[in-house]
Amino acid sequence: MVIVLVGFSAAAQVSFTSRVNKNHVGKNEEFTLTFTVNAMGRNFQAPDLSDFYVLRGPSRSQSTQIINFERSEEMSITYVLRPKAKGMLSIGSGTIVVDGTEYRSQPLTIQVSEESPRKDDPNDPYAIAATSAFIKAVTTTTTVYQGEPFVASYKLYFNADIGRFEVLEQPDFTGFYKNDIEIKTIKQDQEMYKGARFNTGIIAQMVLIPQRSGSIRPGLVEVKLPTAIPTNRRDIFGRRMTQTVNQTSTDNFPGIMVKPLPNKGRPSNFDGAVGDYQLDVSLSREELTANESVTLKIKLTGKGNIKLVDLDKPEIPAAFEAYDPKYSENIAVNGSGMRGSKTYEYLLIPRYGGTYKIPEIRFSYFDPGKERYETLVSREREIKVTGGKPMPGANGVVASGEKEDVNFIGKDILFIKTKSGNLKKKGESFITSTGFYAGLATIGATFAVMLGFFLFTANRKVDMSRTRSLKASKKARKHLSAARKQMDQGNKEAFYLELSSALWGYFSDKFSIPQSTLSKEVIHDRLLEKGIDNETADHVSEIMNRAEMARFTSIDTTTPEKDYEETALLITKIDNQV
Amino acid sequence: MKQLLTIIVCCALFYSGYSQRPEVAFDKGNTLYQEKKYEEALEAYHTIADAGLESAALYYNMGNSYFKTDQLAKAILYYERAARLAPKDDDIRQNLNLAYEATIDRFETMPEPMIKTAYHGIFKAMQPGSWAAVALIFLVFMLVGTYAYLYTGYRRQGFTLGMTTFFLGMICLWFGYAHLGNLKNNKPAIVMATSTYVKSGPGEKAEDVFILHEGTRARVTESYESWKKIKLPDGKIGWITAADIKEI
Repeated sequence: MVIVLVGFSAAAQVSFTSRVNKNHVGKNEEFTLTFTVNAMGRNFQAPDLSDFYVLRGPSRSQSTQIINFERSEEMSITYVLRPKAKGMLSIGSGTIVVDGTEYRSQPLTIQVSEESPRKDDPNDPYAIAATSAFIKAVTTTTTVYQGEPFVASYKLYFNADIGRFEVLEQPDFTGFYKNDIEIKTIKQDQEMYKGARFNTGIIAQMVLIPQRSGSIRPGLVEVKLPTAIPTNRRDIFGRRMTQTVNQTSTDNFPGIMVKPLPNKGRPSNFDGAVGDYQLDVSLSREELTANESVTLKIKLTGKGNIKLVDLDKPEIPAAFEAYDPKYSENIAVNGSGMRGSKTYEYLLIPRYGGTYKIPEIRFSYFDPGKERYETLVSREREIKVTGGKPMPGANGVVASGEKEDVNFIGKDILFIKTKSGNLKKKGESFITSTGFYAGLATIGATFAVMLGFFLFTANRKVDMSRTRSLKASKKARKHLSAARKQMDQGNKEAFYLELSSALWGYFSDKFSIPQSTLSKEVIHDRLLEKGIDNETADHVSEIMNRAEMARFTSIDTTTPEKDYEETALLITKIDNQV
Repeated sequence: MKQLLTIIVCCALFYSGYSQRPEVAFDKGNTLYQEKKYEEALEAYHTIADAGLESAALYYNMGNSYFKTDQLAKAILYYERAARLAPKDDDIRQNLNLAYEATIDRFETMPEPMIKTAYHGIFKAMQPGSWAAVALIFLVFMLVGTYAYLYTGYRRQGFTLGMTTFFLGMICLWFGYAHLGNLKNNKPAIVMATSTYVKSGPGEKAEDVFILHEGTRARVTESYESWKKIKLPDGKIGWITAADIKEI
């Protein structure tokens, strides 16, 4: 149905029209909405299309033609729509500006019913195409356990020639882990469907693993499927001519019922593995010397969601240096699901001698066929390491590889101290104590006193000897004058006493030698040392002898005057020379 | 005479009794620790600490008790206090390292100049008090040397002894004061909050710079109101609320 709204103008006729390819569609049927203008327009504004899903568009096309020197231009804007609801739906006016004038297209209405009306009309080319070529989404099962893989395929059924098909829309696979299966060539098959023979071909296939439980409806799959349908016309050879219909075939992806995994009997180490598995643990060797290497290989083989499965790290004794495992996987994803193997290879190097356990490795999975949990347990292995030091902290023959014990070896703090030590006042230190300062001061004071006293006494010693030697002759003269007094009084004994006092005192002071240690020999020697001639020195000794004799023997052969004169002369002489 | 003796004995008993009290509490704490009653052990230890007394062993045992009760930051704080009093103690260092391993924050420590490390190593060999005592001993020998030099015939020996001991004494004094100064100025602190935001300046409105977790050690370089400026071992600088950090 075409409704033309024509605008007249002096220069050219501008027409802006809108049309739909069908005005009665089924609920899930798509249709095309086209706006056409026979001039170059600008500022196209689409009407409100909120009642429809816009599957594609707007797509623009332009064409220019020159016929009989007259140039004509055409521009069209196309949408592919699908209704959102049933009933009479209206499409408003679109607007466009040509040469500054705004044109409006006419509004349209479209009828939407539950079923596609074409079915009623066996002559509609779309209806014929839809029965001779269509898509179906099929799954191996519609009830699965969470984590159980299943295969879904998009299968094409056709008994007419089909062109290049294209998947326009995929269902929404939220809630599934999806792994596409690569299809290199489409294998053709034959199948009976609703009483008719069809060629079939799987155009896409995938393994789906539900990640959550519940009923999941992924939605529609939509394929553009050009189909050749026969027409009533015949070619010159009398063969029926065919017409290619660009139909869009859709199918609802089957709803999947995902059952949760049972809580009953679920092992503690269960980590979501569903399927059927085998565990193989092997050691490259069981006896070796320290610092050699051994490989621990853990291989998980099976069918199921193996891609999503991970093995726990084995507990390796602390005596071993363990590196990050070498990981390899060999997993095939094909029409029968997902199967293959995962391999972890640990390189272990023992550093200490002894026998060590590689503890058993456990792997739990849910078997959807038997509908119960299974746990695989590998045999506990022992490795005998010869040579090397024994492991520190290991007691007994077998050093356990259990985690708590390893913890205890390295991770616990040392025991408390049993002696309280020297409990002091907080922040107190000898260096800031008065005791320390007092000590320092005492030492300094002692040093100062020692030094001061030394200097003081040394000075006095020097002074005393000098003054004494200076005073010596003075003192001697005093004694001599006293002696003279005694001599004048005829007091011989006193005279000699004064005389020897004068002599002894004089020498004692002169030589700074105390009288107690002084003797005639010492005086004699010292006089010679000081450069006094031998004669004078002998004379001194002689007079001293005479004075002693006179004092202690009281012989009357003394000559006091002479002795006095001689003594005075000697003292003067020595005093001048020394 | 008899009376005097009684008084002396009484005084001695009283004195020894008084000085024994903290040791008794210490032993009580140890017994409780051994019985794994860590909370009670801590109470016993705290009575000593509250009396204003301290020793490396006391702080170490408190650190152990805190560690056993999963109070990591406090354990580290007390281990650090113990390590300050006895920097060369192997037990303290091992447990401290173990406690630090349990902390969340990891740092690349900035390398210090070798000469500085060596110098620190030397003066930290003894506590300031010990350095002072050794210095006094040296100085007493200096007096002996001086006496010999001034008043006896051993003048040369006296001179050598005096000079050597004088210099040794001075060096000991130097180290003692260097250690004391280091302890006073270099104030490490431990983050006590489970986790805390460190800001670019003092005040709630300042930008967050990084997050620190319980047990991390930092050096306090400045204080402003209730905020402290800290420097981390890797050189990062920021401001932290005083409530979240405790100085050793």
